[in-house]
Amino acid sequence: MSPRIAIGLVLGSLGLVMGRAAEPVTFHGQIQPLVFRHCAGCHRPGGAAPFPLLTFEDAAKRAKDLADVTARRYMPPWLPAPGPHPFVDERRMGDADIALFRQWADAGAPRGDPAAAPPTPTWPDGWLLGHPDLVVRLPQPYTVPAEGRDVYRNFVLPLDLPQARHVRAWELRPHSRAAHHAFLRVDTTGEGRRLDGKDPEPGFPGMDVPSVIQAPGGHFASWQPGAAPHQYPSGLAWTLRPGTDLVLQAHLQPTGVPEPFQPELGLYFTDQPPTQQPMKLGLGSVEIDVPPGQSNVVVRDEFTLPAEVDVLGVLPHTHYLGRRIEGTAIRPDGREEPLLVIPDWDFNWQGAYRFREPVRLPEGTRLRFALTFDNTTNNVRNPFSPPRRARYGPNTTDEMAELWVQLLPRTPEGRARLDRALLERIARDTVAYSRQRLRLDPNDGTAWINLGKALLSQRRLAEAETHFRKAVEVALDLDEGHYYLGLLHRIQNRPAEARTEFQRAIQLNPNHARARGNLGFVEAESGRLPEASVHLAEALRLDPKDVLALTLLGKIRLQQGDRAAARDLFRRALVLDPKNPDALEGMLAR
Amino acid sequence: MNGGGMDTPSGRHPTSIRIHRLLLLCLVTAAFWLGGCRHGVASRPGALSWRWIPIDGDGQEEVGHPGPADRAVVLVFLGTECPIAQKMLPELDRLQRELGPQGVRFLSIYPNEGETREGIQQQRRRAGLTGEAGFDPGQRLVDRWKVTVTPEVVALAADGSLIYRGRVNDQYAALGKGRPAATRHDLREALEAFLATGMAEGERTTPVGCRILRTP
Repeated sequence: MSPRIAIGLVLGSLGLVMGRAAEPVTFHGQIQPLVFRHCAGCHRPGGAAPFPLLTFEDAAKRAKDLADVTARRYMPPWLPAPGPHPFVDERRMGDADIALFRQWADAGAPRGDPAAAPPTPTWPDGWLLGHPDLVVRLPQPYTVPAEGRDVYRNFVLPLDLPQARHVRAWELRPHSRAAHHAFLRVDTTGEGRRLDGKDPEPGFPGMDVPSVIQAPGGHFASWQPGAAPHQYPSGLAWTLRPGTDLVLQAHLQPTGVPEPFQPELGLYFTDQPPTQQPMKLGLGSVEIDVPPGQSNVVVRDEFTLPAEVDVLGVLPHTHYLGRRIEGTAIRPDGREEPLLVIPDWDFNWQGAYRFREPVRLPEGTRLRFALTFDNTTNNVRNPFSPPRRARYGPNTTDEMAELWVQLLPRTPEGRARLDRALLERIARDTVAYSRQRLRLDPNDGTAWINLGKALLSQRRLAEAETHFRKAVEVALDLDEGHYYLGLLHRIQNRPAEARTEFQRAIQLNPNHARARGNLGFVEAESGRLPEASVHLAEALRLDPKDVLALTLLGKIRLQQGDRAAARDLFRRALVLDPKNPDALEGMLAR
Repeated sequence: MNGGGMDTPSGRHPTSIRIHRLLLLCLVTAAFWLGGCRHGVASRPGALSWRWIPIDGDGQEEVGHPGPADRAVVLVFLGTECPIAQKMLPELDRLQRELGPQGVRFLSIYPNEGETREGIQQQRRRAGLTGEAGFDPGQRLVDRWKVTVTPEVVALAADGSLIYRGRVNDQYAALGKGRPAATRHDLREALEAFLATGMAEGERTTPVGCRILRTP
């Protein structure tokens, strides 16, 4: 190297250094653009966060806190570590950007040149995707108490849709600082309304909702503050049928003052019915037993894909002792690929993650889940000090270990294989889950019913009966227990006992549509057609989509000579099930 | 215990010579109040006082002293925009209701830049908080007591000796890092011990919350 070049290089780098030194990190120069991109969605007037961060005045007085919370990656809240498959709406800030916050704070939070300020983003007053096709608001506000444990409450949002609609997007506006996360569920049975009616305040409590209140077909439908509205890819909308209610399961956190909660939900419809429905695989275990003082208790589960799939998203779930979560795909050639790694789980920022591009995995890929619990005092989120033994359970002071994986099979044959494999798992998990619940509470009627149902599906009728009897013995007001006893007696051809059980279920829950329908069948089979008609008509009032009730009542009307009424019933059945043989035959009957 | 009731914000025990010099300095400058005598000893037995702007007053600075029934005074540093501070309000309210009649006086102090009377009153109304509240003009009480975050409490006996300072309870380990509920109620335990024994133990914990807001 010639001396001249060497001197030039030295001077050049000196210039670079001096140039850098002459350009300190300022609010308008470097910080404000970052704040607008990463923070302002919540930290703006009227936003979900407790204070705004749009202006120099807002941010400068918090410069050190901003440097700290970004360095700890507490803010912006984003739990997954970067991996090969990025997620939609990642809120992760890069290391270089985080360093800028520290430099700015250390330099005394200089303002910089206001002329260099980026344009302040605007938020359309209201909905981010434009005005929704339908806005539903919780009819009455619920007040979150000022203090105490977190509140899990389910709020019924009646829709009263005149016709079926396909949901292509939705957005939740909670209008409350207490809202920490939420799941959207659908209820076609009216069970949510019934439970809501039994509780004097709006909604009904619990993390564990009845199984008839479900996530919309194959979707997670989870919400957290600051998350973008949910939009579904073409063909993956979900359908809302007339008579369906939405149920918002909200995790609400006391804030120190009583907080009213009266959310609004915006629904965006499409004319395109869904062409496919994703499926959900639950990885996890109820066999959780974490002794106090243990920091490395790992719960694992695994599933081998019986068909090629696209993985659309993942939803992890654990409580306060869960620390590290790993979901890994192991391809048939042995290659391991992380789908989700959360190094430091935070219960308060849980939610679902959707892959930006679906992850295609071939048949034979193993999906592996591992969750590490830390039940020591080092885990600052530990609900107990000194730590106590933690076992599986639905309360936040119990523990859970789950990773849900949203799958889209590539072929109909693949879907059928996956469906069978998932059903087997569900049966296995239901038995394990119910046994675990009964270990904790032998008077858990629902757990007795679920075990009975699993036995019923295996045609172990006598054992199933014992379990259903136990359910109604430990929980006297459990309509489902009597309903399943009735169903069992129908299978056993014991109509008198079946009638008594269905009647008891209806007595306990007059809106039990399936009990009504089955009672109609029992009466019809006993030749008591007028009684059967009354029960079937009531079943159809409660559930207009009950094809079996439609066709049976159609047949009764035919026998009674009311051909117009019969044809109307068969027509309604055919709209729901165009190839229904009973309805087709009924329409042709002279 | 902190010896003869003398206490410095840093908690160190100064030599008697330093105390005398500083007392002299304070007397000479006729500024023997907490906020005014900022650089050293600011209280002595029987001389606890605080200068602030009460929120319900006429906007003028006032000097407060423990009344005859006050066995202890708790300076509670709060910020309306700090979620952890807000979260402690029900516990602080409960403490005031239970221990107030036993001679513990609670002062809510709002030192942060940008606080408004309306904002504070609105939050206190929503929390159902009664009791005394005020601003800390020039953040002198913050400096005097080397307060770092909200919520942070400094509990003093009427003679100025330190009973306890730090967090209200152990619910939070850092901003956003907390348990579902507190397992230790440090402020309550310290005050109850003081009321039972009359001994100001000078215990400390590290407070967790939002830094005191001031533009550098």
